[in-house]
Amino acid sequence: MDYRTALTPNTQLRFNTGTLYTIRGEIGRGGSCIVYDGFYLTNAGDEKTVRIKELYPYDLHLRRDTDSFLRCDNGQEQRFASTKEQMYADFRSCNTLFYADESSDAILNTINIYEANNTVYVVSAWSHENALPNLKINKMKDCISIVRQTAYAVRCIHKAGYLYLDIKPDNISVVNALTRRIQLFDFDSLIPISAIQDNNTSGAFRLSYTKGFAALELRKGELRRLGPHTDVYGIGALLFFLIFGRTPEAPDCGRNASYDFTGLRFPESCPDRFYILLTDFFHKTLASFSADRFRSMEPAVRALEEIENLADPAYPYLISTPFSAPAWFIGRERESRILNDWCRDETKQVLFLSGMGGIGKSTFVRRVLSAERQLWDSIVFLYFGGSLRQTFLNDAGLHVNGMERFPEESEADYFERKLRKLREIIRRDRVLLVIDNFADEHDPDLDVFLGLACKKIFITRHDLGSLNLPILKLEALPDMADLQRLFIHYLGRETVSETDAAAIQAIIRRLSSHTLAIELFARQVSNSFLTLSEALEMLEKQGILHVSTDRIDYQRDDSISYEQLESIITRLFETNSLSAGQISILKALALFPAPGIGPRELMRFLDIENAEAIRQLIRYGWITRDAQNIFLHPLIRDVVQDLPVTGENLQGVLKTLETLHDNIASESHIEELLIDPAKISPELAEILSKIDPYTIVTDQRKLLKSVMTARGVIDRLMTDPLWGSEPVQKLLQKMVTNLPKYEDEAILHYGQILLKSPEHLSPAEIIEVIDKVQYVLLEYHRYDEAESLMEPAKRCAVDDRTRAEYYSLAGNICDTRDAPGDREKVLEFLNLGIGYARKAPHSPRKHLLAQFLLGKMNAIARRGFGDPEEFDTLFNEMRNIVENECLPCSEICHGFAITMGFYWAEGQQNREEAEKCIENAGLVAKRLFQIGLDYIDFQIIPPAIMYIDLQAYDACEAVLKDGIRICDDHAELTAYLRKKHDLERYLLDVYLEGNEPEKAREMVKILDDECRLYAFPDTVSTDIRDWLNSLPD
Amino acid sequence: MDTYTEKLEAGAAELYEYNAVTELPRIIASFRGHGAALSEFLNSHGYPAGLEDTAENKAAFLREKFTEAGIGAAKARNALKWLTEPNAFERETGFRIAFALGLSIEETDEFFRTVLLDRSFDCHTIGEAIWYYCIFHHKDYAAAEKLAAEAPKSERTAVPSEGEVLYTKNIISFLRSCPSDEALLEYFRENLPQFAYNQVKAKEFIRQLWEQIAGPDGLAEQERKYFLQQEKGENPPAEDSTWGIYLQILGLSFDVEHIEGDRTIRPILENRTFMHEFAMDNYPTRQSIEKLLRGETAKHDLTRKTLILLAFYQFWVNAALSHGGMKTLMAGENDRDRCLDGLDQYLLDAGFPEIYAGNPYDWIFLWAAGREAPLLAFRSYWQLLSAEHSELSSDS
Repeated sequence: MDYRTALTPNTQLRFNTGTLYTIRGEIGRGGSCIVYDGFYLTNAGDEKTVRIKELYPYDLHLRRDTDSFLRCDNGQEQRFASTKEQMYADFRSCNTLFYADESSDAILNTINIYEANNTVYVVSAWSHENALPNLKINKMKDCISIVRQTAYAVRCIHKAGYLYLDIKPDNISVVNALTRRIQLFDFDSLIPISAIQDNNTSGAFRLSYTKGFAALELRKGELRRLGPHTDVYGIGALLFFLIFGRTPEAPDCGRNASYDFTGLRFPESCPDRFYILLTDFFHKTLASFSADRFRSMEPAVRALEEIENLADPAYPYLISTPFSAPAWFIGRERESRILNDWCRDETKQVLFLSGMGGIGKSTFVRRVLSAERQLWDSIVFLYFGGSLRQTFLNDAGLHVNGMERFPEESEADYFERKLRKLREIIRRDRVLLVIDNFADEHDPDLDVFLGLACKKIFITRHDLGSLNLPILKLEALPDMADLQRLFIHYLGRETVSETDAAAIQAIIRRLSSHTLAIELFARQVSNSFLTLSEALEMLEKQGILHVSTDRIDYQRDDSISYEQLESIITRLFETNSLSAGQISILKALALFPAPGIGPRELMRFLDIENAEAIRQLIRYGWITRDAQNIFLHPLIRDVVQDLPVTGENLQGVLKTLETLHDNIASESHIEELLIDPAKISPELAEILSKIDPYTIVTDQRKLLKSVMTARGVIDRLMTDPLWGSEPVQKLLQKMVTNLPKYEDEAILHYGQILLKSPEHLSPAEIIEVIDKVQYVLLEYHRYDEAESLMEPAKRCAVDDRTRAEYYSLAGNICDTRDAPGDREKVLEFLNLGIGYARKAPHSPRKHLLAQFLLGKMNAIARRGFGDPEEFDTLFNEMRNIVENECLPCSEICHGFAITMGFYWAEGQQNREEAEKCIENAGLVAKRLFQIGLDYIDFQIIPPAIMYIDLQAYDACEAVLKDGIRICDDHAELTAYLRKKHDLERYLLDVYLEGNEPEKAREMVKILDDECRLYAFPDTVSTDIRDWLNSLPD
Repeated sequence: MDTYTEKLEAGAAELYEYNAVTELPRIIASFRGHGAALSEFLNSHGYPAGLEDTAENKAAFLREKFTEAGIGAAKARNALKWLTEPNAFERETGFRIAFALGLSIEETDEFFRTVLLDRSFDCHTIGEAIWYYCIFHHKDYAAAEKLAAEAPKSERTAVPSEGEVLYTKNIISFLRSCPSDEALLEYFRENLPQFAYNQVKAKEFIRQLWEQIAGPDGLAEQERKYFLQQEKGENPPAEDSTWGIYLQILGLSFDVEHIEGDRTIRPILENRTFMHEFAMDNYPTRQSIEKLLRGETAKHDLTRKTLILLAFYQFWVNAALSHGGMKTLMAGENDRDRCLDGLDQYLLDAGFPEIYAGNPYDWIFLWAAGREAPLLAFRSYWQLLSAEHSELSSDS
């Protein structure tokens, strides 16, 4: 317990000099003294405030008598005497400090030392209004200046061999307001540095401190851990108190403590470096662990000098753009490492960060730079304003402290002056310029900017891959788990069910992992109270722009808006700057789904020769390019498709549709071009004579590519206003009629769509579609549906050609169905067809006629109906066509060979001749039927039938198994599975005919399994099953 | 440093993960109770006959001091119990002993820290503010009793979530400069609602630390990202709830299925082989953390222990993430002392006594801080408790 009794207020002290001091009251006590507030009267009668320090050591247990006398009668007299001597010595030390050259204005002048009441008193001048707590300071620089001077004064005390240990505002007096000199008061806390390590003397000191300003070791009373660093803490705490208005606490004293500079008492703008140095200063002064602090006051003074300099309002520096780390960020570890390394690599000064709009470029940069602020004195974000010059001139973006354009100054002059100042700053400060949305790599001032000796990041959507620049390309986030977390985060949920997770993944795929689109779409789902499956369905049907008109929150950099998703996305991809020609290209490219289309191919479609327009769109980031193809990002595609339909915008689309149509038309059935010898020119005749005629045949792969390209385009157009227009219907017609047979479902799907409203098609084109659809229906044994198509076909039978085609369709049904009465009808239809085909005026006439002639020859040779004598007439007419007017590799030539095969096999039972025909047909078939199903239909099944007729069962089995192998090679396609099933059914007949019950049973089992597995109709009759079961095993 | 704490600190330095099973029970047994601590404190504060003297004589000395101070011997009738039993007296008795021995504010702090293992004056409690005032201003016991009788009474509530709060340091500042008893009573009356809550700064620190640990991209998430995935080769249960993060701090995330009950580790805590009873009492739990985050009233011991746990975790994860660009859970040079100073700073600023080796709870952190990988060492201690618990559970 502190037993010391202070002098009571109004006690008067008259010292030997005659001066009378009056005590106002105790203002504090330390280990060895009590300090009083007091005054004396000047000769003019004014009160002059003083502080009076009375020697009254705590540990000597002195008693105060009623007359204020301090009694020491407990054997401590000698120690008390020593303490008095020490007080005199300290007084002399203070005077020494006062008169020392470098500190004469930094230490408070003590007035005198006196003896009274059996103790010693030191009186110091003290002006209440000059005390730091009573001073109004309103500038950051003044604060720092005071602390620097205090640190300077304490450094002098350290040099004199003492620790001060009680730095606080109450002990600081600021005199001469013009130059702000400080003086310290209260040296009672002084401890000789030499005593700290001396175990014998350390017990004599009782530490006094003020809690908020005292270092941890001082508060814990750990005398041996004291040192100059203890006062260093006091200096840090003093500055902290002056600028934040509170004393530091534990969270401020950690090694990595961060400080909220928005809470400064003086909201002045200072360079970033100021805050960096200030943070560093606090780390090195306020650290709880004393070894982390400055070991002496010297570096603290130096640091304060630098900080004070930066706090000067006239200091020229680049004012940093305020920015913060994004509240939420995910992924991009690899790119972060690259950017982090770039930030630290002093040899690298420029970086182009490229990527499409909304992929998160600016957010990524803010994220990385927010953790790397300490590397720069200024970080300035500039938004590209059309040209680098305008961007640079804009003081709102690039603001040099204390600099602005004079009213009479020209733009060019200001540019030069600002540039000079910037170069000057860059020589001194570490500066990072970030030019966001940079969009002109041919800017005339780019070289000037690249030449600035500071780091620069250009954020751009442009694809600068072709230029020799350091580029970091930001692609979509690759990790689905990251993207899913991103979606769930903006959905405002913590977890989702497995079903929802699957929907989210589908949404992410539909949005091509585009970061912003995912964020916005998740917000939309949440704001519009949609379920994820609803949202996915709407996205698939309507595209991202039209999912909902509900507004959503959107945060970009540090601003938040509340608007419709559509307006956010369309603003992100602002098309105002694009020409009609460029939009036309984009709209055309939007027709092609992933993986897009080759650039040369697009040029061909658009009928343009110069690639510049496409190159520009690639560079500006509108078009994405990979190794082979160019394509639109789904988000851009949605925006482009949403652009208004105008004549100019549509040119590219229409041209593309037309070219696609023409491509298919010119690539299909070239072998069916009949050559009219009368019209063939000598030049063409010469060319044809040099070409292997078997090579003139449709390239099915090429045709298939065109057809599938058209199919992708058609799919795209289904939700487009163009759907139903003539060019689309024409293309669709060409696409359907040229789809390969194994695309049976697609043929039905698209064919039926087209047949619902074929208003832009000619009757012949409609019949072509009906022919294709009917083929599939007959394959499916859906005879009624096939039959139902005859009604629209009949409506299209408007001239000789279409009538002939109509009868061809009618004959196909009867021939395939083979119901009672169908044979007769086949013959009738053939005769009618031949009649109309002979009259048809146009080029397909011969082709049609040949088809019918072959049909009739078949009917006679295979079915035995009609007049057998007519066969020879038909044969002669056909041979004439085949030999003189057909290319050898055509369906007609092949059909002729097969028909003759049937003639020899069925009519004449001449296997040798029949096999010659099969061989001849095979030569054509292997070139002509490049699609397996065609080959089976035309080169497997007919010979198989011939071999059955010839009772050559082994040969028949071999041929059918060739066909089954072809099907097995395409087992992933249903049409082949179905065809395989048909071939196996034929094989069953072969085994039955060949009397091989074992093989037949085995085949029935296979057929049954396939029926179960693929839900095919059962075609094995009960009779067959019963018969097989009746045979012994 | 006295011999007692020197021995405990030496024990901490020599205890490794490999010898913990055998050495830990020995160390736990060496912690002294209140009685022994009081006896030692008397010895260094005026008891003339030395430490070896009988408890009866020491009790008589205390009764005499109580009489001298005007408190009355009757209030010290259990003095023998205080000296011989582990937890025989409460805070109120502690203040009376301080008064009887004529302790200063600082000496009272020391008494509470080393004997009661608790904070001294909670000046947000009117009764204890009166003790502070009287001891600081050298008032006698009668004055203290009179003030206590005349002072208004207040009920405990949570720290208000809105409006200005009165910090203890401001109350202390007033108490030190308070000119008279009347002024003191007036102060109580004027600020009565402000005495309904306490531990404002401590709860503020706990909230700040929790925010740093559990907030978005906080230390817990970063630790999971940089260390736990590597260590376990898979994602740990990434639960950002209080329970998930609490388990992560203790290193029990992967043992969660072994912990029965409603998200509590209480069954693991009840282990008298490896945990001293005092460390076990008021051990921070998921429930107590949530309670403190809501600013609700809590025992000083619980609040102090929670503050230590969170500040310890915050320090080591921060250190792990900032080893000059290399992320490691190994302690760097001086990190032990840096950590302990950091903890002391938190405790002192919150008005609690600093880390004390004689406090069994503090000792766990003192030990862990001295290991090569302190956070892992701290968790190895929990693994030990968890393994012991699993073994006992399966036995039963």
